[in-house]
Amino acid sequence: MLEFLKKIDRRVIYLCIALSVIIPMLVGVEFPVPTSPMTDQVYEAFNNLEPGSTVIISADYDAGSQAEIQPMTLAILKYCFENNIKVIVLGLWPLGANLVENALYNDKVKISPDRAKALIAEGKKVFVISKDTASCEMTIEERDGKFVYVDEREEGKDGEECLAFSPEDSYYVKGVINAIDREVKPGIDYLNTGYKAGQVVVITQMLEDVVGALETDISGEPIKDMEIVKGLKTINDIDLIFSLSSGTPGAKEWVVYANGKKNVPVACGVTAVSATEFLPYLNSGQLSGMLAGLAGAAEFETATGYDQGKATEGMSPQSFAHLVIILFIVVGNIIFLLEKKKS
Amino acid sequence: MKRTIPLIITFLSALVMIIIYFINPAHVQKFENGVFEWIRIIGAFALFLGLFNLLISHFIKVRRNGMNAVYSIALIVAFFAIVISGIFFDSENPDGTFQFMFNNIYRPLSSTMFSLLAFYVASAAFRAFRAKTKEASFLLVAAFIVMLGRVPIGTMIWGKIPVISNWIMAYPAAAAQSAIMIGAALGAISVSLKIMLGIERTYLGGEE
Amino acid sequence: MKKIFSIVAMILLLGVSAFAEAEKSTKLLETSRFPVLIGLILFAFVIIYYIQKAKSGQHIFIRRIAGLNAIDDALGRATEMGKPVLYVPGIGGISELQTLASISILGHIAKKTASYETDLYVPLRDPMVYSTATEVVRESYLGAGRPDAFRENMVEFLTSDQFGYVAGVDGYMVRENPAANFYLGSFWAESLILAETGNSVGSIQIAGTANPSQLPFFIASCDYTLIGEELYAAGAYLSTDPKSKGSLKGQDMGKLAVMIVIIVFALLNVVRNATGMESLSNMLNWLDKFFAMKG
Repeated sequence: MLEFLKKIDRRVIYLCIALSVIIPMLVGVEFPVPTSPMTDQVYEAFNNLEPGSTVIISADYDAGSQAEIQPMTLAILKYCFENNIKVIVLGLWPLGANLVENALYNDKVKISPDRAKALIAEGKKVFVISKDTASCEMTIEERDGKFVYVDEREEGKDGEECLAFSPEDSYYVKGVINAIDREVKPGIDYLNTGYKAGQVVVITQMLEDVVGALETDISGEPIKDMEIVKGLKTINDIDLIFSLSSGTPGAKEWVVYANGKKNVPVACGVTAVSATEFLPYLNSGQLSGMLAGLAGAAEFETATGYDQGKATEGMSPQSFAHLVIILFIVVGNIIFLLEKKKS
Repeated sequence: MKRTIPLIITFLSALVMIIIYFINPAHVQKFENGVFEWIRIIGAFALFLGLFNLLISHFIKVRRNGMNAVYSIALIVAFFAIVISGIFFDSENPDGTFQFMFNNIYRPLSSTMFSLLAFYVASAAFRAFRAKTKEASFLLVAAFIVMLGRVPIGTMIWGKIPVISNWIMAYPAAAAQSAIMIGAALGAISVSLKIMLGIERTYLGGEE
Repeated sequence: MKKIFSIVAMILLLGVSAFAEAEKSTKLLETSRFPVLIGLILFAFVIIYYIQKAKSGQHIFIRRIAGLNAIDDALGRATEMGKPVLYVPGIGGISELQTLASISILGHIAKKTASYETDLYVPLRDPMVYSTATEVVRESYLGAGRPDAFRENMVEFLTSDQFGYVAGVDGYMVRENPAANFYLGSFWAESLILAETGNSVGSIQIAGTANPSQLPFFIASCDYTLIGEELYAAGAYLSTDPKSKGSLKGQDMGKLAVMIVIIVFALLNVVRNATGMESLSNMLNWLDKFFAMKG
């Protein structure tokens, strides 16, 4: 037995981890997610903002870390727009701003059955995954006052009435912009300025002249006459900076320059593997809060009452994966102790 | 002379940037922005140089027709596919070719690379996390608590786990991080000084 | 003397151009940042003092750093096995000091691979680091008397994308099985992916970073890890220049001073909380405000 455990192939470990993630996702296990003090601080930072405040979201990540960061993006955009907080986005990483744009217009966002009904009634496209659809994704539309499935497959369910809007089913829309009960106007409530090359240089230029440093929006249009930037001069006119950060440049640079030099509140969302690095900044008050990895995103969803969030869904696979890792560490130590005893 | 002029430029640039830090930004903003603009321009040219090197190097590998030429072909094809779709097709159109490739090829591939972390954390922990000494045993217990405390299942096992986990993160872990960061910051200042004074000059190429 | 005059003149010119835009109404100096200036002057003074001491020929003791001592063994192993050496200088840009420290170590390693006739591969994520690293490796080969052994594709720009870069480096490790891997510089989430892949192909691995969050991953997967300031010390440690050694000593003294300050102020805080002494409390509050630098 000892020999077998000693020679355990690393691919067996990989397989166990894969299963610990896949099985809870298929079975659909859900856990209630309590919040941690770090996340509460982030929530407080957003909650203390008056309607009409301006937040900068710095998208300092790319597609690699989107599994952890993108749920934060979705939850934060949703919270800001629902609470009438203006959002200015920039990307210190080439693809970050593009990912935020995707979150706003493209990514599937889970909504409640009631919201789904309201959106279908407005003629918007709503996707559904339910037992009725045999776990396939379909859209629902209103035909002659009835909610019916749209199914383009042969012998599909096309035209069949969708009767039950059950909370067990999953309803999605494309983009945060459709998930909220308020019209978000680009240039007034939201501005994506796209990728800004220059890393730290961009931050330092923004300290004294935000509009001059950002110059154009994601499609290259000048931003200086847009309503969202009216009265915006230095970084001190920004109420909160939130860095979605998976490396450098990112949250650390915002803390050093925007908070360190100009005292602007900075909060961040980071990948779990780099979270510990920001603890000293959090303790010293230089960071106004931190969302640490997918767990942090799930906690923020709980704090903002968004219980259908993507991160909350990911918590059960993550819980089981953590248990499997602990199990392997225990097995490793049993092998070690048995070997020690033998020798 | 080959070294003297770069060293003088380095010394002066560093000195000016240090002085600027202690001057009210209103007085030096234009100058500072100008300097930063130079950095951005140099960066943009360096990127072209880098891409040029990448393509040349892979074209050479294909021409040599070695065992791994197929990887180089894949790189060249992917490179031009993205460049052409970004320049000649509407890259902003959410249903366009560029966005299609970004959403359906690039994003899943990048996420896959990142997800390897989960597998590697497990195998590294299994191999290296051993209670060899009393201190290592303490670390092990702390690791279990933090791992459980960061996921909802920890609360279900025992309500106090997240509390203890938060305490470990906020105090012992943060203290250790701060200590490493202070040491590193002093090291960074020391390296900066050596660069400024011309003691450390390897970055100029070779010679100490 | 002429040099000094020209330097001073240039500083004055630059200074004048910097202040030309000044408005008379706004204050000139950021007095709230003076604590940094004081710290900087003190620390610089200590370092320069020890550099002078080292220059005068005085012996300076430097503790051994296992990871740096192992560099020669790792290179020797690669030479014996006839396999290449992989050097990853992190994913940070050229403005990051960790990258510059790493470039300095790369110079030393490249010199050795040149004299051992061992193949070296340096994949890069930042185009500016790419051009610097190319020059450093070229000069090192020249310095070692082996300019013929230098090839342009030894140093290669891969991609600016974080995980695309990791995929490229991992691919190289799996295909070429390097005997020794060096990961020295600024690393983030990719650290473990690199180090575990290197571990799985059986390379001897030496890592070092000043990003504390990535240290546990390197410690778990690599043979030797340089922790925080050891990365910055490496250049000086490997160098034969006494001035570099002096700067290391100065750095240690600076650290000692910081430790003393932390302990003294922690104790003073304890005394304040225990006794509630008003004068002490006022003094500590003033210092707190002074060092917070919130002008």
